[in-house]
Amino acid sequence: MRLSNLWARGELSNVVNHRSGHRYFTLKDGDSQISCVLFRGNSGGLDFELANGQNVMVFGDVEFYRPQGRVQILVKAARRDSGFGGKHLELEMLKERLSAEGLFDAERKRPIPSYPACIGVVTSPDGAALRDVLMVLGSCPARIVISPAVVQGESAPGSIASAIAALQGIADVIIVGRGGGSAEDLSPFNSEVVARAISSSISPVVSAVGHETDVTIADFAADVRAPTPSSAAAMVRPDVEGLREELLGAEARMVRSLRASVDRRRARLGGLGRSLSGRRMRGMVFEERQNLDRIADRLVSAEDMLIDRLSGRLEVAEGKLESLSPLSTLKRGYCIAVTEGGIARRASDLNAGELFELVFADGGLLCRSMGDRSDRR
Amino acid sequence: MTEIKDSAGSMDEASQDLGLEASLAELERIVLGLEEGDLTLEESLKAFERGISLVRRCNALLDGAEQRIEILTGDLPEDLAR
Repeated sequence: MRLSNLWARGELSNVVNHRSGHRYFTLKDGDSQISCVLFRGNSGGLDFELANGQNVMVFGDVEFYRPQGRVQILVKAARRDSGFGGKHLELEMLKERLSAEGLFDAERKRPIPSYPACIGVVTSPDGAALRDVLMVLGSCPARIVISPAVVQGESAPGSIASAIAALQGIADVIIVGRGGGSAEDLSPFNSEVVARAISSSISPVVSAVGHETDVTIADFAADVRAPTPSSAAAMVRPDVEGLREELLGAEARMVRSLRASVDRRRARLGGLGRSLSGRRMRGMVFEERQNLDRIADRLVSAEDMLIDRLSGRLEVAEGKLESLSPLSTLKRGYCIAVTEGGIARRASDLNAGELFELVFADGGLLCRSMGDRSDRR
Repeated sequence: MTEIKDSAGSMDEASQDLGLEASLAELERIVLGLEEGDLTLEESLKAFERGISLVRRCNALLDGAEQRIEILTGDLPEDLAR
């Protein structure tokens, strides 16, 4: 038995204009669908381009396509029916309604966090999309939490929505998506319940549905639309190389600031030295400066220094600034012997008969050495 | 003395638990604080030490990063489980 030369009416979907010139599509209405093929040889009389969502009437034979074990219509002619199909219209209306509600507003879009501690992925655990996402994320410094969802069929919209809800409070950013498929396969992402789950998510959502050319309502509701699951992962992945540079920069800035702080204190010490001028005590101040220089030099090579040792050193240096400040030392009752060659540190620095200055807190005395006191050695 | 020790101890612990984002935020505050230049030498040193330990913490987080995958319901597919 053959069903020949009959008319069928419905809405076009999955239209593929093959390179060969043959056209493949699905004809749907309400709950039923059938595959159709329009061979190049039969398309001569076609006066319009086939497009998804179009209502058409086709004329042809029903045949059994053995290689794939399915029944299809071998189309011999097609003509446009009135306007777009019901499904398509329904979708446009939903889009309009949600848009009017403000679900797609640009102000609602939130940026993807730069360094998420946890990345949520809502998709089928068995799909290729998940593998793509995980491969691109690689070994990034973030937890990856998969929230499994059914991504096609009748239960998909509810499943996707609850998978998004389950990640609230866990993930800092959520990827929602699936790999490529037919318009029917992607339709759960055109559902209202998924759009609402996305827009009410506390964490930003990146939609990643199908291929680059597939745009769904989920894409409008999401904070960011990624053309594919792989590119969603690339958007979410923390920029590790940039981060390393930032850390190096932060370290350099800290070293520079601390050095500047040391420099300021050195300048103050310089001021102290000038206020003591005439007492030839700059030598002593100079020594403190060298001390600070040494500290500053070590700061510059902060990369390999031990912080503890450094801080110990600087604390000592700071203590020295207090206790070794020439003024406070002198006030405590010590004096300093200053010779032509600088500060005398040892008895042997002075020759018998040599003139030197003995500096007190309140002034200096010109003195002459009477010679070595061997009994005090 | 005890007090100083305690606060230093808790600072190190906080550094261990701190996530990347929080570590970076604190580091940024420290760097800005140091750059303002209003700190005493001692405060500067404290901030510097804390800053360096945060830099190390972040680098350690980056170095130790390996893919950590969890699944909310059901089992991880075999090809993803390690």
